[in-house]
Amino acid sequence: MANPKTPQELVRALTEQSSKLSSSLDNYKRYQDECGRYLKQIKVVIYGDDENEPQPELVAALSREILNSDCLYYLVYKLKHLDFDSRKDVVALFLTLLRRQVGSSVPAVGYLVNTKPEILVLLLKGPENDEVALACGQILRECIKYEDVNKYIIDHPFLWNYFRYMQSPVFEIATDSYTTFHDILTTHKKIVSDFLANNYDRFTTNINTLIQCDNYVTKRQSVRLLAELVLQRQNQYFLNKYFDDTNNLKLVMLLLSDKLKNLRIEGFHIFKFFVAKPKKSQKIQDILIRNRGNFLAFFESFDFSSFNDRNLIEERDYIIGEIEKLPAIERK
Amino acid sequence: MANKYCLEKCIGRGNFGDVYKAACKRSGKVVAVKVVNLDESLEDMFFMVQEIQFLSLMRSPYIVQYLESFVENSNMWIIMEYCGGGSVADVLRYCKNFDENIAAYIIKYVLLGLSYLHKQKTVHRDVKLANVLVTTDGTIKLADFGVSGEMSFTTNKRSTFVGTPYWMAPEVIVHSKLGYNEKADIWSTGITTIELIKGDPPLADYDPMKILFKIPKQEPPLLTGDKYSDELKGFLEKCLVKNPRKRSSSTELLDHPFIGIAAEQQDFCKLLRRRRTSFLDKYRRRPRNPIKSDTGAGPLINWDFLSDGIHASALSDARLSPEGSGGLLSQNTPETAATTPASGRLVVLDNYGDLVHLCLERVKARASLITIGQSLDPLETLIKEIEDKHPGFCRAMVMEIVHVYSEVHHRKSE
Repeated sequence: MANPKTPQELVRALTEQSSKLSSSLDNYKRYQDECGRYLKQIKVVIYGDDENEPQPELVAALSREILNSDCLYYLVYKLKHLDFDSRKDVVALFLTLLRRQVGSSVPAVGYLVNTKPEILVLLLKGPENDEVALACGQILRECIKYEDVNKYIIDHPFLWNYFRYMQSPVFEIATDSYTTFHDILTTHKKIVSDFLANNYDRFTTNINTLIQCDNYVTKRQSVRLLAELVLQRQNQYFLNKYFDDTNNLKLVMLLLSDKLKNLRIEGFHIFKFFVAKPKKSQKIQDILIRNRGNFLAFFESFDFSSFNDRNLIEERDYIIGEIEKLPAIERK
Repeated sequence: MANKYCLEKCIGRGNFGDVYKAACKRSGKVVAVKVVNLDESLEDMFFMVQEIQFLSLMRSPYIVQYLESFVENSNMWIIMEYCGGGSVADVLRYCKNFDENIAAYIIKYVLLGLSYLHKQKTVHRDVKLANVLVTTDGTIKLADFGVSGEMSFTTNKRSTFVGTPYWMAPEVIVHSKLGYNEKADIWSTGITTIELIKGDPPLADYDPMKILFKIPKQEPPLLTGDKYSDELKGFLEKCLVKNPRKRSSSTELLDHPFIGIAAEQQDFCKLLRRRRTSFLDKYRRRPRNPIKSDTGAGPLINWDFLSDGIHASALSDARLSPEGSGGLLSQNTPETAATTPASGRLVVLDNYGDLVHLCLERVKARASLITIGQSLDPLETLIKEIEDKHPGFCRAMVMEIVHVYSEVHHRKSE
């Protein structure tokens, strides 16, 4: 193929070559190199090089051509067949497109949500493949900065796979999936509130499973996410249900009695809401009363001051006060 | 996962974790393992996770390759490529200083590593010889960007002191984290070059805290005099410029004449072979934070949950006590379980020079009169001089004392 000159030619050549990429090809490496070369050329158009400054009209033409083609689709679909550096270039290309405004809108957002949502679905499935998981995660997190894309993602059934991905034996994949999932649930408050209200049972069951897993990092991350979610006023409906559920209280109490001090403290940041909530359900109240002595002994023995956090000490003292107000029952 | 690797010995200690030499049980491949306890501080874990994601996206022959990581109990195991030659700082300890062409060889690879990192829009932040590693075949690789590099700047509870500031660029000290970029690494590369040539970074005799005030105030520590080549002096003039914008970039410096005088890899290897005894193979350090395993019984408190049977399955493996026995704290209180003082707080000796020094100090402490103790001072100075001139002297002396003593002891007991 002749050397592509204009941005249009470049995008067409890249789309064509990447669509053909397959590891079963004899001359796989040649196709791979060719894609890598085109991506490098695209990078020069976007960022310029030692001699040339990037030219706005060329960047505009490039972006238009990409959003009028299947280029991004094939790049993501064939991402695992690209080499290590080219995958980074694909991430950089996505990031550039997602930050490019025309007037008040970002053309890439409309393209992803309305024209080619298949791309978002491929990205969501990224953690299934070790090679591309992190690149897909990087792109996806940039995407969900836009509410429209976040909405599409949060409502997609594949979102639930993230509970599995977060337990991946490959550390980077598990943690990258967590980061993505965390962003999906904390960036746009309104859609998260709807999501949690509509999916209370399924969500709680899944996050509680994570909280009970053996992996220290997964465990702490999921407790931290939950603590962030219950701190959001917008999630009111979810909160009310969550803090009325005795199973949730039990799991949080088990965190308080964990051997590891940071798990205890992360647990405390959820536990405090069970105690501070004005209208408690009878069952919650009963468990709190039955363990009044246990709680007081816990606060007695656990050194909160080692965290050097004055707010934490104030919160602890408030919670101790509330617990002391509970009726001390006679034990048989 | 952790039983995939067999830890052999501790080869390095950091504020955040100790580094071990280890072998993969299945493949036999030798690796370096950094073990970090994540329960020590509240935020370290989140930081660590970020760093590892960053590390896993780095791939270059000029940097120490990240391989994988996993969580074992509350410990994080980070598996990295193993560099059998140790750090250039270790090698330097036995060579005292390097010729310019050897220094240029090392700096060339430092710059190649930096130029990769800078292209990835990353700042190393902690360039110094202790972070430049050598493989057994004399290849030079940059290490400790990311995890410990970033961490040595944080003053949280775990690190009682800030990373030694001798290599820090003035703008790093003045503007702290926000106001500097990859040019900070170039300044540190200049300081590292001086370290190679003279054996120590400039101002090495000063207290690290005083340095923080000195570096931004004083003129760049350039080298002068006929002792040094124009290439070297010119190179340092490009690195040690106080205004970071006027400092050269790593790619520009790779074209500098100083890099042109770099020795060949085989020259460096020869030097490694000549200078290094079997020292590195026997090199073993005592870990600062011995690996804690926190396996054991279930929860520390016997909670009293209502026996209403709700969601009992979710709690099945939590070893709940039967209703009625609750309300008591178990014998094993949280504090005794979690904060056993780390035994690694002891003074740990790195080399035989320190060992001899410590012994002399102890002998002095035994002296009934101060003057008797003081009479040992010349001996101490003399030993230090001999060690400097003939590295390995202290080691030989200690070895012989141990050998002869045990022989004599052995015969006595027979």
